[in-house]
Amino acid sequence: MNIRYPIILLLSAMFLSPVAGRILAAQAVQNTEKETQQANGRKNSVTEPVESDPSLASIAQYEVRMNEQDSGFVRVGSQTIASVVNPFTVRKRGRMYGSVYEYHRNDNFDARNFFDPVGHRLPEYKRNQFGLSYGVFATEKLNIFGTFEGLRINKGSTILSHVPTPEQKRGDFSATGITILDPLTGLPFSNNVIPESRIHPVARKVLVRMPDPNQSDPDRNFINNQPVINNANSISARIDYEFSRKAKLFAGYSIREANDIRVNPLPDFGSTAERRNQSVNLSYSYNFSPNLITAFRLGFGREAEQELSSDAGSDGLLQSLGIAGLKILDANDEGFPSFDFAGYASLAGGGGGGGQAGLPRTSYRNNLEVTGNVTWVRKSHRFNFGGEIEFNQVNDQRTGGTRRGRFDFTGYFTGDGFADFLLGIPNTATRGVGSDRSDLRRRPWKLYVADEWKLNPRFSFSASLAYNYTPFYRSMHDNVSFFHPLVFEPPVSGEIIVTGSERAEQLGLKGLKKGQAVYTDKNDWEPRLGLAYSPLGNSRLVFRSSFAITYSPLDLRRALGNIGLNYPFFYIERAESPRTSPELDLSNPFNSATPTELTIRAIDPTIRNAYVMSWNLSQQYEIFRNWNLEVAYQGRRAVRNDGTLASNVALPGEGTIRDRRPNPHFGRFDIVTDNASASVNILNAQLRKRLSRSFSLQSEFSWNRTFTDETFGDPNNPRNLRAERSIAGQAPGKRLSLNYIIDLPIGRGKSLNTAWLGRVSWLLEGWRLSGITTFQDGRPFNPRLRGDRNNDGVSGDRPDRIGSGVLPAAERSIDRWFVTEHFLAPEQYSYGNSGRNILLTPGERTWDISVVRRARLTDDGKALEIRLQMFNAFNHANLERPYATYGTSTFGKIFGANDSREIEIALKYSF
Amino acid sequence: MSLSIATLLFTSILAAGAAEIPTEEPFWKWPLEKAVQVLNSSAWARQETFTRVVGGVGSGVSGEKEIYNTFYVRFLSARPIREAFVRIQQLQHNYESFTEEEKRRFDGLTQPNLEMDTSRWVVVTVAFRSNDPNEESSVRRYLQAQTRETLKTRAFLSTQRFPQVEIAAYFPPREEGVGAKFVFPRELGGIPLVTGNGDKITFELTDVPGANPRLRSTFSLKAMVVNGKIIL
Repeated sequence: MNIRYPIILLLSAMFLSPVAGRILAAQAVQNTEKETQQANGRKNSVTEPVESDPSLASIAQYEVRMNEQDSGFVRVGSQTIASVVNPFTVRKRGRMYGSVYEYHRNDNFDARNFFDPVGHRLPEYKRNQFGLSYGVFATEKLNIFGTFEGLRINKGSTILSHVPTPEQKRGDFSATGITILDPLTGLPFSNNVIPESRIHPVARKVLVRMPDPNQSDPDRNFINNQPVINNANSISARIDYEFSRKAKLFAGYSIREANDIRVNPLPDFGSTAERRNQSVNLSYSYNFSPNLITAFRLGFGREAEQELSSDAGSDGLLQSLGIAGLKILDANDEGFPSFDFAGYASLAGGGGGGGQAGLPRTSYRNNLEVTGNVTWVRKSHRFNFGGEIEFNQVNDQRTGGTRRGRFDFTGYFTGDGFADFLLGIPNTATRGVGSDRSDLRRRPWKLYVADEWKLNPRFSFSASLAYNYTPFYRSMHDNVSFFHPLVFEPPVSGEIIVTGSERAEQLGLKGLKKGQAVYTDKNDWEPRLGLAYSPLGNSRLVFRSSFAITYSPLDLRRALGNIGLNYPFFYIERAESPRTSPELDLSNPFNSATPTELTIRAIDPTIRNAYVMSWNLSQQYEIFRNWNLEVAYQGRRAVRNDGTLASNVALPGEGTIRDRRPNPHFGRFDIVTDNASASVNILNAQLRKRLSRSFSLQSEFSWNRTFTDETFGDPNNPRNLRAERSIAGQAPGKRLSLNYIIDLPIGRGKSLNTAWLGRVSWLLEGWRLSGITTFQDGRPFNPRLRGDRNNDGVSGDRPDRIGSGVLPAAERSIDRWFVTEHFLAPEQYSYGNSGRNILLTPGERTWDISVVRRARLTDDGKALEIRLQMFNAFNHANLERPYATYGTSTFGKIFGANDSREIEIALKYSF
Repeated sequence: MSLSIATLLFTSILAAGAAEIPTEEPFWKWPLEKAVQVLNSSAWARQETFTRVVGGVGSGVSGEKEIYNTFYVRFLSARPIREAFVRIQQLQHNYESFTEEEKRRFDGLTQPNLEMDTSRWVVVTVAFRSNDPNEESSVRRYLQAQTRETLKTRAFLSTQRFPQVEIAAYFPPREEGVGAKFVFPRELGGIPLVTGNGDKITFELTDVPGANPRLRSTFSLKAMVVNGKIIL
């Protein structure tokens, strides 16, 4: 016990026994006086002025203790007083605090999704989020805090799609209105029915897994209500320890395990995902002197992830289909090939969104990070310098799945994609060969120095300079290869070489070691300048401006897509049938008369990190007491952004693509280059009201205009990437959000005093209303053509555009979101003139509202909280993006909506 | 929610009155509510509460969805604040039931705090509480780690005459309860920091970690006048 706290000691002594207490108290007073005198006379370690100023010493030692354990007096609700008056008084030795909670939602509380069929029970939905937190001030210097949270979601989906009818599956297309041509004769099948004997044996085996329609809508004739399951458990623990006034330690550990079951538009073609993320953090700070402060941090994180097809482990499944030339690595690779039928739901397609294409995907990532920072204050300067180094590992990374094959049925031969499938005549067949496993390493580091200089009360100036060394990931295996020379249109002669080999050196790739794909960009110097001006001499009105140059290194995704995934280690073969006559047979698609192409993945070895210039100007103003307005303009210009360049592409024309490629010995080249750029202009306004009079508000409006030529799919014309420059598709243009809390001032002693109601008043007290409201524009998108109309081997073909395509708001509906007639098929073997991102998806309006009742149970802070939350409270149908494939029956139609209103009830006990 | 209901609700909230300041009654007669009011909402004390609502699946920390970060800003150099602290102590220990001898001893121990010499200094205390344990830990570590030197460009008192008065001393929060103590000179170049001319005094603390990096708390000097004299 610290004897500098006289009242505590005195009162404790009094509590022990009257006599002993008085003796101890007298001693305490004497000791305290001595201590105080000593403190006043000696050098004080807290701040220098104390050394020479007794009044400062008395300020330093001013303390208020209201701790019943120390004092021994428990005659009034001391803890209540302490917590109301002084938040820090709750930090007493041995005090425990925490909470236990459960949040529950289920379908009985929820509204119907816009696309849920009327008259049917809603898809099952159960969601439980539960947890507990527990903390204890073990000693006055040690604080321990831990949490556990569990999440269990079982949510029925509402996924609409178009599937073939039972008649179509038998070959009978007589009710469809589509004339099915016999590719052998070029004439229609008799009665528009494919003879049963002509249905391909592979198709017969696959048809078993294809569902029949379950809806009457001819376009959206199948609904999948299978549940998506998300289970997760999270545990975290944290320790704060104060060694001394100068030295402090923070340590934390967290782990999260999640298991998901995902669904596809078609049942039985889903996938599973397991993730386990762990992190450990240690940070230590030490003050050498009041103007020299150091901090060190050590962090380690590990992420293990495994996504598998729902058929993983089904030994022999792929082989049983009877498609020759497909070979998987192990049982985790099992599953169906990807069959894409134009105009129908894909079979096992749509990887990532629940489909099986692209699976299995595994990854074990480790990241060790060490940082150090020194803060040195001298006069009006505040210098910061330090550095950080990371050790990044990616192990057993697999991104394959193409080993099971991918087959496109575009309807070129019969007039219908599904009819092509029944006959077993794909337009293209693709397969992956070899192992796609990657084990990668990287060791980036950074050094920086910064100065904040306060020139006078009105001007502050800041400047910093950082150096970033960020090498590209390097493979642990000798499995990185290039096509050399790598130019955008490969010459007729060229060869694939392995980096680090003698041959690579001979061909000019000196210094590129084994397993290395890209030379390290060593010029990443990042300067930053900032200025703040306070015309009133305080922060009521502040203008800020800054300019910075930063670098954005190539991300892991690019590394994974290019390291160890090239011939001869792993490669993708593609066979394509001429449109005039089907040459591929589903039984043996890679060994038919059509030779296969070898697809090359590549990255420009001299690619540099993206260079980003950003500038902003902002104004912060306290317009009234508690009301703050901030208006800001942010600009950003990014150059050398990475983008994928489709190369070795045939010019549009008749005949097989392979023969028309610049280098017909290879297929398509996907080359990562730094040819993309972006310009960003954002106007942002924020109005905030701090909590006063029981009301607080945060509102934000932003207007984003971002233009870029970065593409995340195939371009319309790979030789004219300037035509891809458009408004960016990721961010909504205008967005308004409101975030508010209203502690209703009702109850005893409140503005609306209910004391007159007596005990009934308890029911009306402690209510809180809070919510998040968001209005935002739709996101840009553009129509595309089905298949590869211009026959150049690149699938991002766009149609011709003869009008804006924009429908007046009052005329938009789920069956016609834009003017489909404004888009036409371009001349065959030519590029369409429609631009990129020329239309907008439906906007979003969301109101999430909570009503909370918090009831204090005891004077020492125990409380019970009951909560009713409504997500999308007004059940606005936030429609999904319209289907945009020109030439299909679904063109311009919308098939889904975001979540309808969900109601959550929650109970929480705090202590 | 209809517009009329919303209007009624907002009007009701805005109609809530500010707290009154006890000045006439001697502090040893204050009831608990009055002492608490002086410490939390008076001419010398304010609570600055920053809020945000967290959304999305699994949002919030230990079940919290509405995050409240409250800074308690008080002028410890003002005698009413110290009186309120002493009164709380008295109430907590049931001072009224003490014998005369116990009262004398108790007063003897609380008197130094009450009579703390602040003739040369204006002392602002800042305490913090959040219902988000991570935010609380983060701000606590921040306040613990600061020194006068590091706060020279971050913590200020401002008056009409003196914008951004530099901090003279800083004492990090202890486990007791007053919070971090920011000490400013009462005079600059022989000129009093506070005169009858200015009508406001503002405490500013910037670069605080978390979602609300700027604390700015403005007090009315007129409200601090007791018996014709500014009590600060």
